[in-house]
Amino acid sequence: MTERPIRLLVCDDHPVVRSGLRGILRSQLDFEVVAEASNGTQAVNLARRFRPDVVLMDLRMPEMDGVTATGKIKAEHPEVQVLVLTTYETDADILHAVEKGAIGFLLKDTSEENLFEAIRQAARGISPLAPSVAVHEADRMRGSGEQRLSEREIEILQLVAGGMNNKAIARELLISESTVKAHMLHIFAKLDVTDRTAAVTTALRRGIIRLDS
Amino acid sequence: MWALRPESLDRRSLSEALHRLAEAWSEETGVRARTATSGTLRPLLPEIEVALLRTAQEALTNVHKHARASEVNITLSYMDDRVALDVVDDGVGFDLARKDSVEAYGASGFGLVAMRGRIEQLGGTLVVESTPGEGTALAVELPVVADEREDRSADARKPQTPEEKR
Repeated sequence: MTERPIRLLVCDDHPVVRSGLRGILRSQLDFEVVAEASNGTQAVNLARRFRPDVVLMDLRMPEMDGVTATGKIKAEHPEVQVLVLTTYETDADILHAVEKGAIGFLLKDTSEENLFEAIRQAARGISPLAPSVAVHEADRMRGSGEQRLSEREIEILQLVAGGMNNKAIARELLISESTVKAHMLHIFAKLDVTDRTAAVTTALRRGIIRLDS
Repeated sequence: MWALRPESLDRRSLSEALHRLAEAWSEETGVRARTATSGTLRPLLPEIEVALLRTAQEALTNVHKHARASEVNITLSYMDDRVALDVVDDGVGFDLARKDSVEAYGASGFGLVAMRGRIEQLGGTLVVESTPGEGTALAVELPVVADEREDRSADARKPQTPEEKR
């Protein structure tokens, strides 16, 4: 890689984390840690001074937290990418930081390779993917066992019964046709039918919808 | 560390974040933006929620730059095993069959192209529907990966809305 290195600002209130990150990042020729901050206020000031490409941002810090610092940095320098480094994936502040302009997040127990890749992607403006997702992906294969129609599904079925096609339903509900189709597939599955007519007939018979309403 | 928990339990955080995004965008652009949610709200894996919020940000940026819309509707639909995000505008739309037209709509859309990659990696789809003169709808659908760890699990499985009683 002959391009100029990716300039990094490391922001974490724990000295051990900072030195650990510095050591790990130093192993990569295309990275250069230009500054370190131990709280949000410092991060904002150092971002102003050094204009890093990517800021590695902890969330919980004294003086100014990572969410606030992310907002300030993005407001002053929209081109600086902020990558959140957090301990807990359940942290609601991850979403708050993204709202403030953070490009993505990474868990602190991630592998070095993932960290390097995420930084390179962030520098190019791409949101990095947390590796945990692949693991949980299998969860979606589990059936829900829920056969009752949801309020929205009943609403859609009622519109189908009134003679509307997917496009008309999409307009009525201010959603996309794709989402109407997705709802239809769920309706078919729950009513154990394969087409709209059968869905309406079955729903009428079971009293889920009425023709006059 | 347990002090951090209550906030993370807030299952409405994504819809609230979308609402705040819409409000801020509306104030900035002068275009009306409304948010709605259907289905049973439940916490999703943060990666899913982040992807949805970022897609909404990119979509609104595109609407502002290209759509000349007077109204945008953002809907989050929770289904049994999927979650969908729709960003529907009433702007000029474009001809999906014409490549230059699509590219014009997404000219700033590097962000959107990147998001499509992410969405697909997460097992989802990103679809753009449009007809010239009839507005544009951007639809993202993702598998629901419920965040059922620790003490969220029991609570998250309970019905949250009256519709479950039907």
